[in-house]
Amino acid sequence: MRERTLGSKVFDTANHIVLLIVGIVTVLPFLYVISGSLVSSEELLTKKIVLFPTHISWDAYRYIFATKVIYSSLLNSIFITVVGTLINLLLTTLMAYPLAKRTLRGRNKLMLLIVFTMLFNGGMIPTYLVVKSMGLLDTYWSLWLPSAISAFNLILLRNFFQQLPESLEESAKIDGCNELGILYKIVVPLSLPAMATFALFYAVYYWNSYFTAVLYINKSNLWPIQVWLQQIVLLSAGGFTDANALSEVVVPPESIKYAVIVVAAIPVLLLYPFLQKHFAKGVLLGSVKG
Amino acid sequence: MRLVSDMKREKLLYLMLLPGLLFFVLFKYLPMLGVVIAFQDYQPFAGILHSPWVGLKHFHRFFMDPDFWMLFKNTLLLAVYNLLFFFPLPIILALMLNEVRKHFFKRFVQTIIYIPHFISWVVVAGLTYTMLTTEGGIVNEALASLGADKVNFLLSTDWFRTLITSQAIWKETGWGTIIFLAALAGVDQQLYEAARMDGASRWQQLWSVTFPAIRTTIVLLLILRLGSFLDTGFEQIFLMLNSGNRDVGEVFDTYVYTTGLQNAQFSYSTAVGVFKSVVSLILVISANGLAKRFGEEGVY
Amino acid sequence: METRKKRNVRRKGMAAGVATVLAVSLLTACGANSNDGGEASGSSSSSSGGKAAQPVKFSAMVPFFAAQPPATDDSNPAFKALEDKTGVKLDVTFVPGSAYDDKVNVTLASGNLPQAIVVTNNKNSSVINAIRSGAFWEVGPYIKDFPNLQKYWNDQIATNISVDGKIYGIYRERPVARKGFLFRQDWLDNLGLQQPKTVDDIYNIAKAFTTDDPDKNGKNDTFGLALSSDGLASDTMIDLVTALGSFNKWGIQDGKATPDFMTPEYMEALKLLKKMYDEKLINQDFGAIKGTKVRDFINQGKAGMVTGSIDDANSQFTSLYKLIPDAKIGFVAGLEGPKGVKLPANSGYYGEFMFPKSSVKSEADLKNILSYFDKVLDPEVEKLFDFGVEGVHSKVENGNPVITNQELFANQVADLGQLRIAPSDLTWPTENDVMKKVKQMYKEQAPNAVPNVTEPFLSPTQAERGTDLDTIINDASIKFIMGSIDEAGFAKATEEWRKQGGDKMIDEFTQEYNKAQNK
Repeated sequence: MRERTLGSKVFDTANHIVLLIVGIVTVLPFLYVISGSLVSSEELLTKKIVLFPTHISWDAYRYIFATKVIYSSLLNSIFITVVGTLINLLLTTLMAYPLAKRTLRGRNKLMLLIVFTMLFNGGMIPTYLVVKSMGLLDTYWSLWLPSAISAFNLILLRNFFQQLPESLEESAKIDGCNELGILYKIVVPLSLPAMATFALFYAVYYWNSYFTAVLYINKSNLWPIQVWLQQIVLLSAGGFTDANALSEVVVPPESIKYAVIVVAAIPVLLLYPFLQKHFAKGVLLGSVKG
Repeated sequence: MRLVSDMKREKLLYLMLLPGLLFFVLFKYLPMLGVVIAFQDYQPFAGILHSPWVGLKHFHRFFMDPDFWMLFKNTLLLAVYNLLFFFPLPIILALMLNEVRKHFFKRFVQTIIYIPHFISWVVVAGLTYTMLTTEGGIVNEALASLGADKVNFLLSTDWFRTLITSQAIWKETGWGTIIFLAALAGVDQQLYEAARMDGASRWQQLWSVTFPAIRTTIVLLLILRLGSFLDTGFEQIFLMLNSGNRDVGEVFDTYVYTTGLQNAQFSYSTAVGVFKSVVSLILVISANGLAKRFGEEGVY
Repeated sequence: METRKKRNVRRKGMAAGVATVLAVSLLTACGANSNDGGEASGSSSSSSGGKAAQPVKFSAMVPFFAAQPPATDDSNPAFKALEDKTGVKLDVTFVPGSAYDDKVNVTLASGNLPQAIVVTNNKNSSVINAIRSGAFWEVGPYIKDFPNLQKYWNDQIATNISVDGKIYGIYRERPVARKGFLFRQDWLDNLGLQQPKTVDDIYNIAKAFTTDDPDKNGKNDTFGLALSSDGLASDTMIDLVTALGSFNKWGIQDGKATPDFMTPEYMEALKLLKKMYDEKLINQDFGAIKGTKVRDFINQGKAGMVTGSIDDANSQFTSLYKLIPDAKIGFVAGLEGPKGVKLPANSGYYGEFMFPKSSVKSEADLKNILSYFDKVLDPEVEKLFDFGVEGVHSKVENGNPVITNQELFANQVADLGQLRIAPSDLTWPTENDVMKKVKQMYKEQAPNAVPNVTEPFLSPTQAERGTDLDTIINDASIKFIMGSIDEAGFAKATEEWRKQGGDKMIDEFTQEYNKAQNK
């Protein structure tokens, strides 16, 4: 290792300490959520903050997984998320690449038109009518196609592509690659951190979305897990306060609300480390250049 | 003529654009026709064709609403708070993480700081209540044990913006770093080598190598943020809103929900949305122009 | 090269074509006179009266509130029994309660309506507009043809769902006399106090619950009345105001529709709550509490009283019983005042089944579907909704049904109840004592329930800014109780309410009222 100056050491130490504090501040409430899911509702009611439950109770998880549909809907969710993320990445990349070419005619006009879609939208009913008239209702296409490209991600991905040195592409062109080849063989591999990022963004979007599923899909056996989780959270949070609603509705205890969050968050949390390795510094860039 | 030859040369590029364009036309521009209902008394059953046209009636009602300026001021202030206090934090945090040499520590911190993103606002609001209530909330208990007066944080107009901004910072800062970390991952390590050769200190390296690498991303995100400047996050605010803080807490989004959507007044809600969009459009165009004047590429 | 280009052009052409078709369909999405929209996912019941052998089929959309909807195929014996007993094939779409209103609106917009649809927000403008454009069958004239329905029919509730004096649906009945005070009976017993009978009792009990250590733990850690910011308007205030002899939200005074807060009784109730707040008989943070969170105070064993539906006593305090096994919850609906025992009436229904003309094509079809709703009122079917299938969900003990498998019942039967119209107010000897008492109180107190006189009326102003206007008064009430505004401040809020549309609302309701009186 290179010798380090005192200033550098102070810098590092201070940096570590601050980051550690940030980490603790963010993780403590989550610890509270996990503990909240593991204690009995009575303990949760009487104690204000439980960080380490004295008596672990799995009731909340038992309640959630007693709902049989949870299992099949978990598979639905995984399917929706995986296929959806792939579709989105493909379409976004395909579109971002040409738009990153500074020589492309009409590029700025197109970009303006894309930005425009971020500002104005027709709202729930017109989108529903389009989805319906294309015959997508009751299929997963109704979840994938209407959100196949996020303008936000497209603009950012284009920005990543734009920052790649053009010389790389030129040399590939001389080697006889066409644009698709360049995109597949050079641009995408060089942009792995960006691709990992947008894969994460899209995956989280699909994983968390439930309203569109309820809106576009009538068959409850096709619903993703979030529909049930939302239903459970709303029940326990007293979302249905209409005094006229059926009183037979059993309100699940507070701890279920927390268990739901844990159940919903864990798959995505598991995804992160896999994507994270692509954030390692200076992936291929140095080597390709060298 | 040149156009034709250019097109030919680039036809593959245009072909690649095609699926995306089709998507934007079908799923963005086609539904966007729906904004015309801002000028109608739209009824879902009647459809756009059979709903009566009412011109600017809804805009008139909106601008003449005695609360319009209050809403505008509240929304604007929250947006400015967000921009000043929240927006820079993910950048700073990403830069700090980038300086960490110990891989394990870096990954560890990186993984935990984005967890709060997955905790729903309902729970965040619940936690906030648990900590801040005057009926045995830990903060007020602590204040009381120090002999200080209890503070009614939740019902106070003075604390509302601080509360909302802090919640947003806690929940979204870690998540916000991801995009910057991706940008930083693309930095050529040789540039650091070169800088070190020139005897640059850590600070100098940060300023001359690291920061420039994410500058365009920052500018881009800033412009895009302005595109949703008046979107204050409905759910979060709605959950924290009460009769005590409504004077500073009611914003366009909550107003649209209570007056518009809850009563199925689609036209009125759309009119308010159009107003917000126009403001955003002006902001984006100005910001983009400004960015270009400073030599940045901008969005378009 | 050449062909590729052509194909490209053709594809573009196709895209444009698709776009045009879509644009057209978007614009003409439905409309009152579109005939094709009807094919709801199930087959329609076009086979009419003549062939009685064929079972009637129809599609329905209803909300559900449990963790999951019941299966609607042969795997669910309860559903199968329902189809067998009513002689109907049902194609049911269950929609999560939280998204139900949105779903109704997009369904209305798409024109693709099921043959029977539960509408819960039946007074909002998109539904009223659809009714006025002739989207739904008027069912009023048919009720007399069905003996069970005719018996079920309650003119007061029917008036409440009427639009322009006509009935467009079958209401799903709910108890009218349901609101009241719930309290810790064991605390009352500890202190030797009687259940509250008057408004003064409420104050005195709250005081005793706060200062007299009702839980006998030697600590000053309890308070009287748990209050929430939304429960104030929906329960606590109207409970007190009606008991004091004034209106349930709206009444008629000097021939004019008048909101309760313009009567002196409202201020009297506010002052009482303010006094209780100042004496710390009420949780000091109630302005920041919404929804069911208010019950936490009871469940924690901190508070002694709360307002709500009396049947909450049966289902909402399970945590309390686990925490304090000796705890007991009592309840009263209605308090004695200058005009006798009074309580605020509920509207008497939760949503109504409506029948779109686009999917229910003929009168014969409508009658077939109505016959289902006639049959669900049979005691046999009612029993099915309450206890599921004998041998699967329940058994018979001493001649009375008892649920044997709670979990299976919750999964398969509970939310089938969305397909019934009568509440489960049949009392079974096997039912627990709390529910028996609750149901008895429903019946006893029904004559004392004060209706909101504007319930059947439509006011365009209320539809447009009702929520805003309510907020003005609710905020002012909360601020008054907390002491940040005084009586003059409340008067100013009332003035504001009138200016921003309240006066118009008064006029509109008065007109509607006069119209109804002259009939």
